[in-house]
Amino acid sequence: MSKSQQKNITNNIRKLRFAHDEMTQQVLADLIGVSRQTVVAIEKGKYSPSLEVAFKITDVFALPFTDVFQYQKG
Amino acid sequence: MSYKEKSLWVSLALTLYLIYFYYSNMMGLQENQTLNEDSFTVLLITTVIWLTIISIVSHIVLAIINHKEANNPEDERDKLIELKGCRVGYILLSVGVVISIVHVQLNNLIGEYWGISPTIDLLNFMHIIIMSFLIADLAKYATQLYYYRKDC
Repeated sequence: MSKSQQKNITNNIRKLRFAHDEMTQQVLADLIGVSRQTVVAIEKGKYSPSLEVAFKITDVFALPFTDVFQYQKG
Repeated sequence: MSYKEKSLWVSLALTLYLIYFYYSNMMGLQENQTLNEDSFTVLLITTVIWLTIISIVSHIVLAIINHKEANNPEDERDKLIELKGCRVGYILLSVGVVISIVHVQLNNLIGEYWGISPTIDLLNFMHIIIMSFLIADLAKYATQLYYYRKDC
């Protein structure tokens, strides 16, 4: 895939956390079974979680997948 | 900094110290011209025992200081970073093994012309293998720490 065709995965997790009673990163980490540092990396877009963890995140916020994660051209 | 990352820093520091410990004692034996199979074996056993003791003690201290995180299982990101580190370590160890094999073959071919005794040849072979292990371990920890710092 050429650089022009590369797509980025972004997310709204940080905004969604604050919208859900200012949920902390540690609380979200405990709910989805990862470390707080992994949540930090996911929010920064530095790490793409597995499908299982991604679905767990959407379950926490009770939102459709595409409302939490976006797959768009860079 | 996660507990896993702190543990890696400890392991990295211990490996660096181990390399210094092993290499400096090895040089000491060579300078004193007391390097032989027995002294090398003693050095090897001493190194392993010393590493085991300080590794256990340092990780116990780390676990006591970070008791809340110490029992947390590795998550998927920890496992991925560990795999990346292991890949680098494996490559370096493989290079070290190839170097040692080439070294043995070269000495078999031309050793007698260079006046290399079989004992020194065996010790050189083991020295290359041991240093390969240590450097591979060092690279493994350094790679993992790089990815943790890079927030991957």
